[in-house]
Amino acid sequence: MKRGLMLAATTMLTLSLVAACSGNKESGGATNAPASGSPKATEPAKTAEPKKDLKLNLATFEYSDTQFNKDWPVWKYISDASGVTITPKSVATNDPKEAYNTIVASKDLPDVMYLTDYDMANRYGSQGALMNVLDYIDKMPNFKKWSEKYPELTRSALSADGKLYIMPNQGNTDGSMAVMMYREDLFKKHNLTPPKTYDDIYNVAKELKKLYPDSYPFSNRNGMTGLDIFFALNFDTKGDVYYSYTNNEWRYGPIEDNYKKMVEFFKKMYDEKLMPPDWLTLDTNAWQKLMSTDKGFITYDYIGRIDLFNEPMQKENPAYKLNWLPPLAGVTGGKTYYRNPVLKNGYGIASNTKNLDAALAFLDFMYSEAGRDLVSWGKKDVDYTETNGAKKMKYANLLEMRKTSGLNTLGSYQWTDPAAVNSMLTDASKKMFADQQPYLEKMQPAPAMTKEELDTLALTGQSIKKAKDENIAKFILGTRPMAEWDAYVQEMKKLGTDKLLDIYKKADDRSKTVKLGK
Amino acid sequence: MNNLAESGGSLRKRLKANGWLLMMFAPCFVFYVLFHYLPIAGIVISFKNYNMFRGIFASEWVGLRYYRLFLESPDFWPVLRNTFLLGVFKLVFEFPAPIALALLLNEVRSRMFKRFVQTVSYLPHFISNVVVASMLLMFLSPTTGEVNRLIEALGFEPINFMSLPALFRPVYVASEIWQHTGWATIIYLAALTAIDPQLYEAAEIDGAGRWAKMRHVTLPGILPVIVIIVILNTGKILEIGFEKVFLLYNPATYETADIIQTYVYRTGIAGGNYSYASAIGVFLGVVSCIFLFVTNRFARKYGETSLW
Repeated sequence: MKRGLMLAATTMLTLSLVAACSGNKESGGATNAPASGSPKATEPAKTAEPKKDLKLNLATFEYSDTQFNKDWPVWKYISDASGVTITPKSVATNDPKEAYNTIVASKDLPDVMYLTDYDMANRYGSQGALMNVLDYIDKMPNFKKWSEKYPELTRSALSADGKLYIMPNQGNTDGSMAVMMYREDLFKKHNLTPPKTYDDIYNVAKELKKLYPDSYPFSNRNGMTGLDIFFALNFDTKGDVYYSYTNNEWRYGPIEDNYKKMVEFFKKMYDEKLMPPDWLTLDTNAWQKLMSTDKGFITYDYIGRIDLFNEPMQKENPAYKLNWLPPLAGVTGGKTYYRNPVLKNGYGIASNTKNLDAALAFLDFMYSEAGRDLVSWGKKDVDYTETNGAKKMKYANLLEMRKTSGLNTLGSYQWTDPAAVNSMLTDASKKMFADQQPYLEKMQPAPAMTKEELDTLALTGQSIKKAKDENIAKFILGTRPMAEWDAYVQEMKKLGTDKLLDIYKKADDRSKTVKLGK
Repeated sequence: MNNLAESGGSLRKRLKANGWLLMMFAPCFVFYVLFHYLPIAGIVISFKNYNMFRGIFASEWVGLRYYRLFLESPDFWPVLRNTFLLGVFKLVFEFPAPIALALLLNEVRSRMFKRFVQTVSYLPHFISNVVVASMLLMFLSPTTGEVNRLIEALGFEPINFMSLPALFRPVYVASEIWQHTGWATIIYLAALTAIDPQLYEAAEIDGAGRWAKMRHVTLPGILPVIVIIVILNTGKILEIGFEKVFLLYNPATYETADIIQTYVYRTGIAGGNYSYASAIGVFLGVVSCIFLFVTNRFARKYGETSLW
């Protein structure tokens, strides 16, 4: 590891040396950006003026299942319609953090970068690598209108000092909605009622265990992360610091009584072998094996997984049917909440770009109605058909659409119309999505942090997360008795949970006072 | 190269006399300077609040802030202890294994069999840690793992190997032995060929059996190599490969499995906090250095072989 660190240090050192040699001519590029209110930024912009010779380099990344293609029609669509010739390039697969770190350290920045999340953008922004878009909002009539229409979304993308380094995302949920699912065919075969509460899950799992003694009826693959991102919400709490809309305050989830209830549920399931004893390390392969060999019957996972099981399994066993379970009743009496997937991908403009006008024109186009339609639906009769005003994509599914047209791929969208993707769903799936809507959790505020706050969160937060993960695992595995829960709560407080709450509260108060625009 | 110093005369004369040697040495020199010595300057970021965009020189100085943060962290002692213990167990159990295997191989008469064993025992060395980790998780799984099927067949309760803190170190060390023993025998086998056959003949004439020959000829013959390897490995006690621990641990085993390297990954690298990460890296390097010096000193005091 020392070597690894050294290597990282080497790379950075060499890169910065190289950059220092080559970048001197334009040093201070970061500070050249006009301050808010400078006359240059307030020039009125004419949207209709023909934009000639505008071009820019766009860096984005790709997912392994939809490999990037610079010749996708979508790039031409955007270039033609916005008047800005775009040269896109993928810098990494799945997770571009390292790639962007290297790019930023090299100072040889593409004009526009498609970043993974707001925190990443704020870090680069505070280091001077990205442009504060608010300085130029007067040149972006469409975005200005958009930000007035969606002030909350715009605000959530702001940095701690009220700068906008990344464009806010809206409309795309990327299929990362998650539901509880169960083996409908076996439930019918054995005359079992699909569970409506967590107690039902326990009872029906016991029934199933009797029918299939070597099974683990309740099988999930995400280990400790699953508890935090999926289950905790159903118990009206969260796996980390969160804003409780019921109590109107910031709270630390894992020391709450509701969280304890969840732990007790899992402990019961674990003790009676209703879930796999190696739930902490069960990987996707092992989980698929359980779910496809009549050893796992109820699971909580991403919606897209339903088809990934049903399609191949039905070839061997036509009766096999995994179906989604309607949202369960709340453990705490009220209704349960499900994860609301919020994408935070967005464009950032390099602070030393030479094509600022092109970048602004391009970003502004993405926030126009025309831009939104174009990147969501593509071209009429090529990508979608329209009958009696109802539009329908011509592709069989999302993956095919992405691979053929490039629509809905990373870096090609910022504001999208979810109807485009939904038009490819079966009626059953549409109903599922619609039924799920009222149960989606209210979006959490995401206050931007200063560098000092981020440091504290990274260190204290990490110690707390580690202690929490370790203890919760032990409670469920029974290596620490439930009777010590109160002692655990005290230990966590001693590690500084209140310090974390304080940081969130302060940052939240601060971001509420930030004004949009000037 | 010895006469380089003795030859005296002007520098130019000496350079000329040894020109070819120096030229052959040059690539090696450049490599070390470029990839091992220059990068040391990078530790400067551990004293700065590193700003990736502005670069190392423009980043602000923060002195020992990141070192203090690490030493004051509640995780400091647990992760240091885990790293040290894992390293010590690895050294104690892993280091004798290749010596034993090399001695055994040395006694094998059939060349075919010896080669076969060598090839098979080298193979695991070429399997990537990612694959080894998933093999372990698969074989040891209490639900689907073959090992637990066997344990059940023998009439015992299945063991949840990867969830028990007490079993993390044994599982890790055992897999390390399996992976690297074969490969590590190479150096000992090479040392064995360097032993003068006359010594064996002399021992035989004196009536030594195989056991006595091994004790009095073979082992002393490879002792210098053994000592050097021990010293080098001691310096590496804290340098435990990150990937394998990272792939094998989980919250239930943090108690014994969370080592400095995984801690650095979670807090420093994943969080983009490179200054903190390199402060810990420097700390690790200093401790390793101390280990190396201490062992070398012992070796020099009580034996004839040492690194310097």
